Amino acid sequence: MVLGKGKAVSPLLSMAEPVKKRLRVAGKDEAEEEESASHDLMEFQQNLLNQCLCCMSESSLRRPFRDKPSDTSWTRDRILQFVGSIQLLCEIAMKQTSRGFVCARIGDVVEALTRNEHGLIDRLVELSSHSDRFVCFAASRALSGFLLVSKSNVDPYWLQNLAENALSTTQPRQMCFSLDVIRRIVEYKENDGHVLEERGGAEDKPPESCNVLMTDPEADCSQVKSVCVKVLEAKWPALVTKFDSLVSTYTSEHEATVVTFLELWEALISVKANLSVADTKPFYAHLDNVVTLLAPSVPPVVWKSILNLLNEVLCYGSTLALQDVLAEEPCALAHLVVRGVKDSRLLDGLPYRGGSGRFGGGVGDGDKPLLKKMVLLVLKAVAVTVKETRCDSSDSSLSSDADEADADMALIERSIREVLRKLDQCVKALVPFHPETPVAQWVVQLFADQDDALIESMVCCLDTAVGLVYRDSVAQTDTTLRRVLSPAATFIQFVRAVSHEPDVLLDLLVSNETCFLLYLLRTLKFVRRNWEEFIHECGGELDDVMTVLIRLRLAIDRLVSKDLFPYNIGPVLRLLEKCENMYEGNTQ
Amino acid sequence: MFAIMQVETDERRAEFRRKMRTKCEFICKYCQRRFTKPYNLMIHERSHKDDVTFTCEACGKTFKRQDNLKQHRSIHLPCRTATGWTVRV
Repeated sequence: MVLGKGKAVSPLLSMAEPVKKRLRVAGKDEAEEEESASHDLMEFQQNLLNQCLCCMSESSLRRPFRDKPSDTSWTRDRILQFVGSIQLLCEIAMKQTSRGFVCARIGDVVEALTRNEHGLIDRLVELSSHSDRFVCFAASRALSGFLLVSKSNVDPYWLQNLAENALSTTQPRQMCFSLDVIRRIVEYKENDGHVLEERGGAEDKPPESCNVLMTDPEADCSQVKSVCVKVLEAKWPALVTKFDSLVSTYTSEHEATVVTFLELWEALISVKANLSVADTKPFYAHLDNVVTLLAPSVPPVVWKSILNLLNEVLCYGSTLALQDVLAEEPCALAHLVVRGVKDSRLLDGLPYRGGSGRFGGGVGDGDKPLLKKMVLLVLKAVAVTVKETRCDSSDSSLSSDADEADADMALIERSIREVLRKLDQCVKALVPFHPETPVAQWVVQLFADQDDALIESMVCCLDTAVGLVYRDSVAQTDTTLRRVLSPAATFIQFVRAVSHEPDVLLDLLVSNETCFLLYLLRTLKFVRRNWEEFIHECGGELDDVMTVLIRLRLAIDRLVSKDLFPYNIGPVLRLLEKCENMYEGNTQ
Repeated sequence: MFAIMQVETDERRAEFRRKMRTKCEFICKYCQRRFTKPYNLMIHERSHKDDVTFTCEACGKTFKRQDNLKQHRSIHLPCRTATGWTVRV
């Protein structure tokens, strides 16, 4: 397919210009015209939902795209219907293509549109300055769908202008529009169906009568993403400067723009974006400035977006915990956060209750999601700092490096203890935990309703404890950290939190939404190496805890014997058996 | 905290990196990040994927969501017929 990368096309350049009034089709009554167009679009949408456009006539397929939406001659509903149809078309086409086929007529319409035969891109862009925010939002979704469906035929010129518009416009809504379109492209994943969507159902297939063309399912959107990231890279320093000035002169008018920018930044460096680490390296610059933006004057919604971004940079459970050599950028950020908590009262500025004073002062329930994001960031920063010094906590072959690291570790231990003390103080000031509850235990209680953050925070506590306290070569004199971070106490509290139900553990192992595989693997290694301490910590609950592990082992065994476990669970299975043997030896 | 940066000299870091380089490296096919153990790479690569499925132990059919699998499992449960209990598979 060859697209007209038309020099004649001048998309996006007119974004800042006022919307021009379009001429009505001569000789046709306005109401009649609207009714007929609406009818065509209804038919178009209905057929799209049935996955096929074969039954529509050429004229009724073309008619909806012949006229152009404008502020004056189209009603809001008509614009929304038009834009919604474009979005639906793009989504259905992408979904079909990723499954290896496309309805020939859907393919034709998409091809005509991506050639920009109807100037569709300009029309969608014009809507970014529409007075109705729903229209702007719908247009941004349709435009991102349009660019994604263009796949390898996407014209970089469109993306360049989009990024340029985000930079040059003085209208917050237009900047938000451009950033949102780019974010959706960066974030897009093939086969990313809605959670409520059951794939493979009858409603997902075109009817028998449809003229279906085979497509290359490997022809994905990675090229559009790649072009998008390259285009952004060139403009990134200027965009960050603009973002900094928006935050420093913050008004609620800029809220959506600031949040969208942070979401885009997060999407760019997210492990889930499946972008190469080399391509995303430029986006790790300027992060130190972002930490300094965390001040009481910044509203909680912006705090949360900043914390989401920083938590994504410290991708501990998915990546950093598994690497022997950590990249410099996350380490530098971790140092900054540790220093911020220890020396610069970073936690004091948390707008927990949205008032003034320490932790946001005021009254009310407080913003628990905000607190959880902050706690997770501090725990990750601590774990990264320890990991960086320790090199590789799980590799016993590096004993000589571990010896060298001991000296460094002793030096940072005091700082980490101070950071954890301040974190403990902050959490207990805001949430009614018993004053004697150690971090190892309240971390499970605090995150109990959010499994991904819960398990990542447990991994952080475990790795920090193993790195600082359970080093073979060091005789520990101070036992404070051993109690504060006790991995056995965390695991026992976790087993209580899941009501001693091994099925929950199995679900967490099978799913990839959390880093539970890593947590269980390292916890079992810890239990095996520190069996006596584990028994002591369990006390009267030892039988209950071990019953959960034994039932989990049996469930995994059953699945493995039928070859149904989705990946190699062997190492976990062997550790479970070893722990079980130690328990049996103990009880005998 | 500050001491790390004083102790972690460039020479030490370079020496450490040299040691690490001699080890086997396993590279993520999605983001090209490097890992020294294959199992660590496998754990990491799972976080890139969206294709986790829940598989029925009885017939092997896969589901994107666990509640759909639970609902599906009921078709394998014994049901009462005129001739007694039978199993639907």
